[in-house]
Amino acid sequence: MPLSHYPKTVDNVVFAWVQPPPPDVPPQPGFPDFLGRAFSELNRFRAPIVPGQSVVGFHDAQPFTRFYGSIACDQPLDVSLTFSNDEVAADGCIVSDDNIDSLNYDAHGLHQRYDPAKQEQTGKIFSMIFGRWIRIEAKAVGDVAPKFLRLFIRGSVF
Amino acid sequence: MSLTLPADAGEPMSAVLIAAREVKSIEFPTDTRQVSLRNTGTNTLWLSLDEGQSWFDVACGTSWDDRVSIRELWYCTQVGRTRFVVIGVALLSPEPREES
Repeated sequence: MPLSHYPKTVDNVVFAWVQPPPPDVPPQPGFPDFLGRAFSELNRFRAPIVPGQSVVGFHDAQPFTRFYGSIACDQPLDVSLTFSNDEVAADGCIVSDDNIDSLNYDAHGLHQRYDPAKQEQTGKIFSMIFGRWIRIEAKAVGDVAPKFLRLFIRGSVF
Repeated sequence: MSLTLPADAGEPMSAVLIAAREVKSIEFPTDTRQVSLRNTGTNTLWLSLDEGQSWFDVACGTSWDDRVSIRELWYCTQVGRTRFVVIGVALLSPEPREES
């Protein structure tokens, strides 16, 4: 009975880390809420990444055919996109928000060393999809915590 | 006496909703004659028309519509959250007018 039309995404951010974060501005009266939420709900930044530490995000990869994005930071980063094909978690339970981090991310779609001195070469991201679930990790590998960091990963349906 | 409204016309009942792991529902003000829905988020939306007895999915970026007469729609996601807009067209039963 359901009729599903060919996808055209409006919202396709699967990971966003914007430091420093922009302020939330309410939608303009009389116009649609184009963003659909406050940007702070989308932005995963809470505090600068301590050197040697990582930020990790998980998302359903199935709706997309590839992932793209960008990096900008004053410190070097180690960024990776890995994929899991697990249908269930180790205990047999279906994948949920509670156990998505416990899956086996065996497929390495991309492993990129970001160098702020080589923005043109290392500041862009592209990966095909290699699994049902995607894990995004950005590790701070500089000597000090970043003063600014913009990392966006978007999914494409085409 | 013919109706003054086209047979498929009716008052739109629209809402923008966020689906998450918890099953929620939207109740329309009146029965629908048609429901159109578009998943504008980034996760798969799961829908039920019969209070969770059966489910079907709407992939992100896609839409679903059908001529169904329902009063309530149940929804959730498997992982994460997704935003969607739903428009139910009200089932109108105009009072028959007397012939002049």
